[in-house]
Amino acid sequence: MIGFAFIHLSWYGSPAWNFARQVVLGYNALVFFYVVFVDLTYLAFTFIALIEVRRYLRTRDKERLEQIFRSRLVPPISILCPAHNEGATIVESVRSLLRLKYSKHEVVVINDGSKDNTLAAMIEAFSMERLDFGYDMTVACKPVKALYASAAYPKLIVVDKENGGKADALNAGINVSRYPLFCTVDADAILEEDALLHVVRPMLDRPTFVPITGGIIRAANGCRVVKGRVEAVGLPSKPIELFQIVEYMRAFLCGRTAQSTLNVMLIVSGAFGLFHKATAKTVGGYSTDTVGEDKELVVKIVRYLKENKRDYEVLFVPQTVCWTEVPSSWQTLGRQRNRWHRGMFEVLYKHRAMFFNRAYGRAGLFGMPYFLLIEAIGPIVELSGYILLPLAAILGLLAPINALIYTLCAVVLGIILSVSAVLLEEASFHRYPSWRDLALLNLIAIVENFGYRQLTLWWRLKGTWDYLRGQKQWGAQVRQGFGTAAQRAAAKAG
Amino acid sequence: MVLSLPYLLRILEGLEAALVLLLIGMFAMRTWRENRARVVLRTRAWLLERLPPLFDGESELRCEGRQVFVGGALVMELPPPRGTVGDAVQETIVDHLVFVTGELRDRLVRVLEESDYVSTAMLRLKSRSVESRVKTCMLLGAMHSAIAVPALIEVFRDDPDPFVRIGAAEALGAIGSEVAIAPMLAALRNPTRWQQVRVAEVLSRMGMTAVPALTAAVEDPDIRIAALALEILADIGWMSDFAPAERALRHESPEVRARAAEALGRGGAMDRVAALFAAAGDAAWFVRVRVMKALHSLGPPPADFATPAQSQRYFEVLEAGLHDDVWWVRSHAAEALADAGEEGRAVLSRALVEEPGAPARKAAVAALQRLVLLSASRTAARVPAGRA
Amino acid sequence: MSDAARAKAKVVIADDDDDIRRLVQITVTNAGCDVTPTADGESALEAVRRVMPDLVILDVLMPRMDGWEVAKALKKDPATESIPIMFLTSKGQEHDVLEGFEAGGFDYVVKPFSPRELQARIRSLLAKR
Repeated sequence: MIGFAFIHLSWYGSPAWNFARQVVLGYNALVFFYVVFVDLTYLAFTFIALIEVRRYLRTRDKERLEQIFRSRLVPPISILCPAHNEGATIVESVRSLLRLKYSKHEVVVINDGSKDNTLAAMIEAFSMERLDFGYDMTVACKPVKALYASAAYPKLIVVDKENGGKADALNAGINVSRYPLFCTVDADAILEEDALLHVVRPMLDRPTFVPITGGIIRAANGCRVVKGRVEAVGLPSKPIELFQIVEYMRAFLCGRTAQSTLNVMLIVSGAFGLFHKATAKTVGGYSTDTVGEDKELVVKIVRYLKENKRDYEVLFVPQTVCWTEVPSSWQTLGRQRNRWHRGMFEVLYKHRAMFFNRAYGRAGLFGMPYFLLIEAIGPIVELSGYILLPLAAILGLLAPINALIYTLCAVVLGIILSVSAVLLEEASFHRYPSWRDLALLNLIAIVENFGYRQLTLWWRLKGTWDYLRGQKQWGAQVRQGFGTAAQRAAAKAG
Repeated sequence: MVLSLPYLLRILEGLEAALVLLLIGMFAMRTWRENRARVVLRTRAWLLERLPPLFDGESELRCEGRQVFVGGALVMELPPPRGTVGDAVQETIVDHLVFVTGELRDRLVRVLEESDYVSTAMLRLKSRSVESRVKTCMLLGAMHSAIAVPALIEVFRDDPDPFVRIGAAEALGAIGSEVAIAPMLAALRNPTRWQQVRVAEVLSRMGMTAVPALTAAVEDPDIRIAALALEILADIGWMSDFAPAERALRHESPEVRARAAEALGRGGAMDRVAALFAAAGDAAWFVRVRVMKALHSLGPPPADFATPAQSQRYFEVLEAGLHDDVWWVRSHAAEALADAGEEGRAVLSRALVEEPGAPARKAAVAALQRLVLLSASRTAARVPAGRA
Repeated sequence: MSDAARAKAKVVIADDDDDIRRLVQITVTNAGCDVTPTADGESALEAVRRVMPDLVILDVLMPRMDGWEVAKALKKDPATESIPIMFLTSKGQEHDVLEGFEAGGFDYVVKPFSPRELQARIRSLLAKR
């Protein structure tokens, strides 16, 4: 209040005062409209997603899936599973990948220069033998040291290569894999057994070319997992994990579903995505100079297809395909979000030519601008709102009561968005069968608007800052594999 | 201005009301769903208790309206085909139809037909919503009832929506009715490749039922139809005349040529092997790949069947394939040689003396190593080699 | 048939789909056998060791432990080595696993199946005892 009095006395009436007054007022109005615009976009997404998910559920049936499963004409799929220091869990993960319900698939495990017993464990468990068969080196990657195969498990191939990071490992996998489609899977992701059947379906059903499909990813925390399979769905007890569960619902169930319906989807999670191999090869596979290689590949493919005037649809199947353990410490989570955000900026910058470019169709006119205006710079605008609103009140432009009620409006709208995501889940899949879980989810949907969301905002802002700083020494920064355990946790589920 | 107090208050009130409505809606939905789930569960349990007598193939089944008699005794009276209870009955029976065949399937289908479940579903084929029509097609396919065939054919021919048409095709394929084959073959003429592939898939799933009509289609003046029919026949594993396939191998479109090569390989056309030799020099690499694959699945010509010159040619063609520019061709040629006995392995060994790093040598090494590994494990293990 | 063989044959079934398990159970019961139904590989293995049945019917794709692993474990153990095993397999797996069936000397039934056919197969398998 003293500061307020000071400003009030010395500046009042001066031209500078009037100018500041105009600027702050104008900016406040801008932020206001921005926030309303963003919230309305999300609300629209939720609404579109609701219609889409209901439509999807109505036309999904067991018989059709069985037919896909039985058909010899479905394209075979190579599962690419990069592993860096996963010795403790890799065997169990691979077992569950081999067990997936699909008529023809192979599992390619890429040992990305692990320092632990990843390779030894694989050789031991699956009686693998060194077998240097030829492969096409069509996308660049670090040297492959050896290939291993097993007569007892003809579906399995292990690639042993020098450390080069996740993107590089995936490129090696693309080179070695034999089938026309490939599906990237994180070594610690838990797949639903009919995941491949669900995601391959759009590629068979749609008349247009579908180069990429993805599915819903959920947080496995709190679920009972036995031998690489989710046996009972439940909720964790730690708030940080609970927040992320609701957040994933918002992102996948509402966001991605709606983006796919509008054919503007530009993100397929790194934890699980199905790609048309020939197309991915044409664009040179994964880029190794970005932290958002999964996002980058999608944008690259879309860009390539548009430049060659091909009709395409990037589709998202509103069907749970995989479960992943989300970070359970604030520090790890912060790093993960920082990384995601940096990755997004990198992709947006690299493909800036697509912005508002009619040549790139909806992806250029809506998709890219959406990511820039809403996802990428959202944190900056929102934070400036948090600063300017009190400032406006201090400057006497806005009664504090107005500022308070305005903030309340924004918060309630946020709650509505969170709650409608839970509602969408309840109206469609309702994987959380107990009443207690439903009540808890709603509680979290409300509480996350008081602190958690602001925290993610902060992390993303830091990501923006780190990106802008890193931009100067572009190329100098060398990525080292998947990094430490903490970084690894941060890297997954992207 | 937008930030004035009365405005803001009114907005806040509206938002709060919306939030409360959402929450009430959510819990109401949960209550409703649980009630419905209870009814479904109860109906299902009721039905499952009464189904076993039907499983017993010995005693006679009789239906009077919705009353079902087995061996003269009334087993159950099905509820009318509507509402939650009707849906639950239908779903339970359809669930069984997914994995049963033979007499039990016929019995369950008859129960659905006689108790009006099929005809009630058929009414929905006229629905205005596309999804509802697609879903109804799928349901009718799952019900496997021949009664629905004429209506489904009509939908397949006349529905304005392509998804509904494909749905109808799949349903017809699932029912496996011969009447449906002619219109489906006609649809192969459709210019979109997508529909062709889907209908082809349905036809190949129908198996032997579709063979006579497909054999006729092989003579179709439209070579694309003929090639597709060939491929489906090869897929089913029943081909009597290979002359059309041989003709298609010289067609101008590389896709047709590739398909013909595949058909010859899968059909086991040993006497047409000369045509495959000629096609091994095709300009399109994917035709060459298919030729190598076909030669692989045919194996070297047996002595009592072919002239020595022909056997000789077989290995020459594969050796040329081993030195192809394209990895896929090399790889398939090497695999074929590895499985072609002593003589094939001799060709591979010849490639081994080339300088290290030569593409042909790499392919040969890979094929030989895989061979060694396989034979080692076959003798070592008595446990199943295949994995689920 | 001797009197000993006429004593009720014991059969262990493992399938994770409730409806299929139920149908197989009824079919096998109708064939005059004592049935122990289980829903996954681990409990099937446990049940076989407890009951010592005359026949085991296994679904190939099951949670926790698939049919192959159960079969392998049974063949390793001298006590259960001689128990005949019959697999239930979906049509799509055929070409992949046929070789495995032959290598291991297993019988198999492809889904969708007819209960009557299943019954006949079980009878002939049990008659071989």
